[in-house]
Amino acid sequence: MRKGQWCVLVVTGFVFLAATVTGFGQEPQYGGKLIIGMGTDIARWDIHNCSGMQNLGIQRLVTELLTDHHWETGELLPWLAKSWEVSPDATTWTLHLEEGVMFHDTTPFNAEAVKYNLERLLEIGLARGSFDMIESIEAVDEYTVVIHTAPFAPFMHLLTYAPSGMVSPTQVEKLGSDNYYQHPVGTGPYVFVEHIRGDRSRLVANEDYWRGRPYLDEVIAKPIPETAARAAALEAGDIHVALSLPPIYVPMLEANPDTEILRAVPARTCYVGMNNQWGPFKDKRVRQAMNYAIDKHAINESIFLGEAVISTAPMTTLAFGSFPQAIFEYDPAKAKALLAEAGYPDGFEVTLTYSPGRYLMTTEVSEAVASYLMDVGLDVNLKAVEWAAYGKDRRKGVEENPLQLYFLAWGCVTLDADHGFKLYRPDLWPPKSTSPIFYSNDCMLELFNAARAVTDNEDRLMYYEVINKMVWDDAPVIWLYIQPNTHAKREEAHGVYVRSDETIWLREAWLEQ
Amino acid sequence: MTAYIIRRLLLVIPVLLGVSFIVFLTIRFIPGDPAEILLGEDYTQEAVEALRAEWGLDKPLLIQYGLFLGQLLRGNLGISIRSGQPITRELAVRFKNTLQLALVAAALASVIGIAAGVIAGTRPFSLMDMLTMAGAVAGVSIPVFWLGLMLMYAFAVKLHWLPAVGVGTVKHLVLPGITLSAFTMATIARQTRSSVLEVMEQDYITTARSKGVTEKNVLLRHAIKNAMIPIITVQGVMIGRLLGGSIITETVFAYPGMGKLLIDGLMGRNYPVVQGVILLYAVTFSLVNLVVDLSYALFDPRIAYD
Repeated sequence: MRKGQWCVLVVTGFVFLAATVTGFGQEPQYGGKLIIGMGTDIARWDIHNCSGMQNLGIQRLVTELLTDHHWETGELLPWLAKSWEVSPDATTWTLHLEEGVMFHDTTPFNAEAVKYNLERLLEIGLARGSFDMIESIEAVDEYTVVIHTAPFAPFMHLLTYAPSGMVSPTQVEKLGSDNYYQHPVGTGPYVFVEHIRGDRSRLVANEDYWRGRPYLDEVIAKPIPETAARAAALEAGDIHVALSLPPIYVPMLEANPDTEILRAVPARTCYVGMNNQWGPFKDKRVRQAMNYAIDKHAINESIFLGEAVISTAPMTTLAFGSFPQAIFEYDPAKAKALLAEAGYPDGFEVTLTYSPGRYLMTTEVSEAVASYLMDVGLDVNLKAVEWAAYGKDRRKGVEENPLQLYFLAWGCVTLDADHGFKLYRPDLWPPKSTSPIFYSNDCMLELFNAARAVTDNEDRLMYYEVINKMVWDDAPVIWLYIQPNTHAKREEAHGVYVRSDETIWLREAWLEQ
Repeated sequence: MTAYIIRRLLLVIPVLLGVSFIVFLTIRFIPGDPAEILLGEDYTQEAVEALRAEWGLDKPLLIQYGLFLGQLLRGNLGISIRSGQPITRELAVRFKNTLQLALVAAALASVIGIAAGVIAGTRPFSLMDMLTMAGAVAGVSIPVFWLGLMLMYAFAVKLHWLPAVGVGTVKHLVLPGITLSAFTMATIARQTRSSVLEVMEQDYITTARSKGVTEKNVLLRHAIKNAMIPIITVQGVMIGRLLGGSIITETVFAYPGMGKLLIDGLMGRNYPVVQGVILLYAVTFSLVNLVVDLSYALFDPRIAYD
């Protein structure tokens, strides 16, 4: 062949190659029906009144918030509020809203809508206690809202917490607040069609979504409580995404060429709490000894197949204001020495309470912890209680609280240290909360309140750095690990990501057809 | 007969009153507060108290019960604490699902159980007998949970013949139906076998044979009716077991039925849901018992009701 013909052939060859490579499903396709299997059904399709984090990823496909977290970095992102300013004393917040956004029922999203929503949240929202710093809301002009609060620097982070979602005021008025859940209307990429309790929730694409029509035509969310059934349904192809699978399924689903494991940076800190006002736990040396007594790496390897993350700070390191510390490495000799120094050379008797099934591998971890503690001389009684009864005990005040050692977890939903430290707050002892750590530290409380009132992020970080070190050193609880956050999907589902708060990010999801 | 039926139906009312009162009290005495469970991490004392007031849980117990009865008489079972939906609506769908599943399981258990039992009973100590009884032992011993997952793995994941989870079509009833029927099928087979064996020993059977009746007719026209009487009792109890015992099967197959509703309601201390579901169970049991009692008259002409 002549040179010219070779050239044409080579170029054509490259073009074909390029076309096939891009054509191999990497270009998002429109259409398709994505089916998601979740652990529990959506209790109520009313974002101001939904409880439990599990299904918020699904609800947030319909109802959006003023701000959001990036699914991977945890960075605070503007969303329905495109920008904001705050007064230096952290009490006046001026939000500028996205313009031209409409709810699914064509009601315009504007400052009046924001005011309506926040007022509804404060009046009847289940989580209104978490938003009680809001004093008043003003709609200054069509797209500007001014919110007055008690001094609270992490306010914009708090607005990423789902109960502050934006719903259509028209719909609430039309159905009545009590019945709004029957047909929610938001600004999200998908429109609610129906919810058949126990069977499925069905959503269809919002053609006029303000960020562009989503790829999928439909999203179906089905509750499949039994994890084995959920994994089986994924393998059978009955569902495309399976949420919340325990680590035992990881090897099987990774080996299967049709499925893939999704891992998110986990954020739920699991710990064994200590009643700091009970007997031996009043002494810091005893509390530190307890931390040295546990081999967290061994627990991670054998119970979680290495999928958990050892806690290096009182909360997930993704949170704003979290500073990693040196972990209490497994050292039973040191633990025994500290116990002896504190006056307990022969250990003491203690009860470890836990609620089976509440968190991943609760029973197994509790048994492991008990066994490590027994190795350093403690006499541990394991006590399994049902979740509801457990809550009742946790709420009791310091005089009546029967709990000594207890297994619990805390998810830092706003990814801000203010929320992360809630457990340890010396001013929030039960019955004001359900965290019977009974931690006592006036200095910490002062620093904490100071951090709240300061708007400069650098200043806040300064306070939190000190608080982190102080709390870690005091060892009010036995820090263990951050619970793995594993989910799985089929290969043909793309653009599916999991966020650190265990909710699913589906805005860019598409199905290969 | 009609008078008898009416009397039995009227007697259901005090039964329901008793059941509802006992459930009402018991669930309120179990430790655990529904408001606190619902709030979870958003717990504050004020929010808990506000919710309890909203649900009327701050009133004295007898007043609460009175209000509940009043609502009941107007056909209102109350509102679910968790979902805000009227209980009657939640129950209707779930009850239909569980009923379908229970009927399928009951049909499978009866047909296969009785057939197997008859085969075994008419050929005692033969190979068929041994095999059938071995199957029965397996059915009684295999955990429902494991059986369900194994069936799911084989037929849904590997063979793709049937759906793994959910509800909606006849296909969705197959695997859960088989799973749920296993235990009862085995029980019925064993019971039928002993019943048939016992009946076949009777003198009147020998008489029939001497008359020259074919073996098939001996069985079908003479033996079966008498053998059935204890089986009917078992079937009556069986419906109860299937309705209540479907919880595990429903959980494994994500089948939205009453069992799951009850368990979730109990875990969340969802008082109205628990009360509603148990009341419905009580009504169903009473009616099923009535039907079973009446059917004795069909099989045994010596029994008459008036």
